[in-house]
Amino acid sequence: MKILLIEDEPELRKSIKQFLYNEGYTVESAEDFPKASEKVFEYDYDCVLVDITIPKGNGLKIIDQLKERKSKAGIIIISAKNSLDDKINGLEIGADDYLPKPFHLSELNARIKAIIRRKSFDGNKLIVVNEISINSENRSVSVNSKDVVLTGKEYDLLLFFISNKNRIVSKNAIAEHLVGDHADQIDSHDFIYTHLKNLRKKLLEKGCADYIQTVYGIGYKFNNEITK
Amino acid sequence: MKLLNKYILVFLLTTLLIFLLGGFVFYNQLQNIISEEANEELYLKKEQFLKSIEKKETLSSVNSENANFSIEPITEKITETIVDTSIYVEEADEFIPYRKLIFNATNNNQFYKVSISKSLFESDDLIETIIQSLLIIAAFLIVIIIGVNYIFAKTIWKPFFKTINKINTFDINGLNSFEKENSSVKEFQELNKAIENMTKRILTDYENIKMFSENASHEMQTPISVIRTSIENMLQSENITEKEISQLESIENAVKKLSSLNKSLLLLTKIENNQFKETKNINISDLSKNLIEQYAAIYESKKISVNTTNSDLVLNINPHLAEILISNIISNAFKHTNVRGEIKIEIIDNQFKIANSGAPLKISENEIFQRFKKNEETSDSIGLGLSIVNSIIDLYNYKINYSYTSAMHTITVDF
Repeated sequence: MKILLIEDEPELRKSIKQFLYNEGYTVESAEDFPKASEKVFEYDYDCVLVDITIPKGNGLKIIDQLKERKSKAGIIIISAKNSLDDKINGLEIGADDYLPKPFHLSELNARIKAIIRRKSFDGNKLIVVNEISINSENRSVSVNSKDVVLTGKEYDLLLFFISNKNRIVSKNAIAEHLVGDHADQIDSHDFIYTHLKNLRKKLLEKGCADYIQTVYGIGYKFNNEITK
Repeated sequence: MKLLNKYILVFLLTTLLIFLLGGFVFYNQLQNIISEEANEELYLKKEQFLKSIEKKETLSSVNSENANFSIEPITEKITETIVDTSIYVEEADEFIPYRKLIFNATNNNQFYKVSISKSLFESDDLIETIIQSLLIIAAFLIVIIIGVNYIFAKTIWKPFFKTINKINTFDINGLNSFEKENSSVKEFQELNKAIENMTKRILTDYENIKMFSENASHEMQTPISVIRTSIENMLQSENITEKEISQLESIENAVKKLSSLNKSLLLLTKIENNQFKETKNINISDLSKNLIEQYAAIYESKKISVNTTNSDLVLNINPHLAEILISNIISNAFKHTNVRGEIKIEIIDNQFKIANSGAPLKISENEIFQRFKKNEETSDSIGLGLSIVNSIIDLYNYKINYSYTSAMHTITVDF
């Protein structure tokens, strides 16, 4: 999977690139508009991450260029401005998602995977991890071919873990993923614990291995190298 | 006092003064001229008379009824004089002013007193007429000028009042810039140009302030992003110890607060700068229902029972602010409700009331809306939630009230 990262802040660019490498993507980057334009013109990507406030131009124009070239790349706008106008505008001109800074890498990961899944035309919306099978189109989950009934939040949680498998995911990241903007207003993360508990129970009931591990203090990890 | 009236008053007084002065001078001049002319005539008549008696042998006394001429012999010479008198003339039934020249004449060694008179009647009348005309003209002039001024004033001042109206209705958030009124009056042109320039400056400054608050956020969020992503990457390293994880957790929590604080302060600034101008009709009841569901799911573990009685309430408000307003109030209620407590929400007419059970507050009632005031000092919240609510309330002139009765915290918002 090839990703183009358009971001002008060098430290952030480094961080994100590092993360994407670790996740197994091929990454290219551009730090300003002319370079971004060039890359978009010369290569095809599976996903493009655009910071709209790049020097010497406007990131939104890159989206226009991608659309003009009839690119099939998924487009995620990453922006520090978090302006509602930008969001509406961006989505209208063809971006697939809008992620305001600061974001968790695990969140970015989940969104990249979601978009790639949506854009994949091999018709297969099935995500399989060992005995767990997830159909992202109708949001259904089965373990060893037995259906597992999950609530909306439990499903989101499972998908988040699987998108970020083998990575330590912080509680903050999970909270933000599950409740978005409201994450700022919530005091404790007890609710994560509750959802997690229920999710685990339901999976284990159907004979699933216990992949979700607690990492002391900071979060959890979906470890799919556990053998039963 | 209106400028026009001031103008006219000054003009009136000056005109009156000038007319008075002028009239006075004119009258004097007229009198002098007429007087001199009368004198000249009398002297001429005197010379003519003296000439005519040179040849005569005797002079008979004349004391004519005509009063124009009289002659009588005298024993001693008299001094020549000019005298003004009034003579009653029966035919005219009035006193007519006369000027008399009395002089000496000699004939055959006999002295005579001669007096020649001239009527000033017409001169007087003339003067009277002239003065009257002058006064009438003056009065007429004044009335006409006042009238014309008042009529004209309306037209002349129209662009000025249009400009004032434009200033009054100038909206800094408005889409149109200040359009200059056209006027042929130089002063108004200058005024309009000055105002146009001033509003341009104001709008530019305002745009800069708005840009600043957005750019400030941009500037702050990027380094925060760097910290956050670096922490996440560090977290994945192979040989990380528990101690290191713990430290990373502290950093992450601090960064979360920073980010939250930044967003909230930016929001407060934008609200106070009135940057959320767009309004729509928002169904508050639907919005509340939605948010209650979300928060109930989040705080599921607290096992709070929620009761709502809703009647439809639709407000014309900015949608973004509406969500923040209701969301902050509801989340605040859920946060401070005890485990197994209850929350009651009533929306009736134009009032939104939410009551939650819970321990009494540690801070005073009027402090809760202040910035950074938190009930528990150690709490994770940054304490801006309710002050944001307060800003929104202020913006739309709603009213909010908090009370704690029967172990229930109640917040009431009147729209």
